[in-house]
Amino acid sequence: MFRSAMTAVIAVLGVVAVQAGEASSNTLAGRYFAKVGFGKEAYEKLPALKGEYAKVYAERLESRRSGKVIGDPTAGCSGGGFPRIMAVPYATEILDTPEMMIWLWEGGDRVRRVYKADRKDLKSMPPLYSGLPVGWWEGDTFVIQSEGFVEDTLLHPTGVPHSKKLRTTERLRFIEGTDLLENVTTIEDPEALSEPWVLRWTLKRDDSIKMMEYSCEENNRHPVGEDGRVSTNLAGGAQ
Amino acid sequence: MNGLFVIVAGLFLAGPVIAQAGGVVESSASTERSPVRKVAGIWTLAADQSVTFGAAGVKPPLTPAGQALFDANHASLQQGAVSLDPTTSCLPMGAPRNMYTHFPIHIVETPDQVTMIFQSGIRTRRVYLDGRPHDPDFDPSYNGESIGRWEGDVLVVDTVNFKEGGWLDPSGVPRGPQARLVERIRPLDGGRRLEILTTITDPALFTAPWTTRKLYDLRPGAMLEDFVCVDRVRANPQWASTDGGISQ
Repeated sequence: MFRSAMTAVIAVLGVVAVQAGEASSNTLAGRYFAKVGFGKEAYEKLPALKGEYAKVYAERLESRRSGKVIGDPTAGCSGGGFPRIMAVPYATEILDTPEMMIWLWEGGDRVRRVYKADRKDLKSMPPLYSGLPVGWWEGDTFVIQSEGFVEDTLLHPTGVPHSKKLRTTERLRFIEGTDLLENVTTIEDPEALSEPWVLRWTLKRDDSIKMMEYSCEENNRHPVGEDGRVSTNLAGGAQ
Repeated sequence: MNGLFVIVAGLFLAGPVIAQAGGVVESSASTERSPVRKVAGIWTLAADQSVTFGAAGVKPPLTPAGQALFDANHASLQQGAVSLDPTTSCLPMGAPRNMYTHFPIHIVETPDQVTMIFQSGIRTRRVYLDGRPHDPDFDPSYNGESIGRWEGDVLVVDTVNFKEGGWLDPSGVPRGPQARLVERIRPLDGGRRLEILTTITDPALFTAPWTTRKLYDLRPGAMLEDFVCVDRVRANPQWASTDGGISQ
């Protein structure tokens, strides 16, 4: 599944890929905060949804307008899932090991393991909130392809749904001469989306960030002030 | 007593020997020593290891304040009430309790950091090896603030700055904000096993340092699934009923 998809991507793009699992001197290791999370573009160019998915999305939008959020697992401290989790302002840490690139999201204390080898046993895994990702280097770009997502996560904070056929392809690279890591994600879902949807966002690397403990269950990063207003408690350099 | 808990008073040269209430917990025999200086991998608590801090029958060396907390926690568990246990509300177990489950622990080594990712509840603990001191302004947390250093093939981790209200283990032994953990982590058997000697000191809750030894098995090639606590509780609401009792 992953190998064939990988080959197709390489053929279309006409690039020379580093074989999955092959060592690369490149790395994404570091700590980051969202320089540009899901920016204005991601809210202005929402994907065209098909049939039942369009109906579900309309209901969610209406619920948000009325102040009652439905269909959002994170409202009950469940998983945010990829790519929606990239829309939050909390810090991200990436650990790079020979076998995998590990994403640690401070928000909700979530983890995503991006396997560098095309592990056959991924197929035996149940769906995960952030899918079953495989990644490889193509020159200075790290490509991540993911399938096998938990179905009830959102693609976007406004409530965009997806089906179990969701597949994402990310292309991550540092913008030349900067510490800005750009991620361009192509989202495909032949059951829910009329056409592929491309999201892009930028993370700023800052290894001075102090990763904090986040316990959604006690709401410790969204304190309610004496005036009843909810604020967001960010740490380290993530201001 | 479990044969792994060797009670010997005269083997100081063979390895760390740490006083424990009711006996002495010693590191493994020298024949098990491994030159491997690596703790990375996916580990599970060895099958014969208990999920409680102390060995069966060993009474925690608690101060009156500590004993009062333990008695309340223990009594509630005896009655089938679980609401005093933070984890039934899906709050983090924190250190060291998260080391005493049978769910995998993924340990990742990078140049200045050892990261422990616990499958249970999906929680992350970071041990900093960059030489930094403890931060007096550290925001107390479930895992505390962990600073590590290598002593030969042993990773020594010093942890302070805990949040109030945690449990040391599922039996209800309390862990307070004055607690200090010192863990001595080292690979055995060529890296296939991990030994962790953990000593807790806390002048508010413990009358003396208390030490335990646990063994972990390496799980090469293991792949970890999501384990989101709230999902499990919603699927099994009897685990955390509103009155704290367990309904069937």
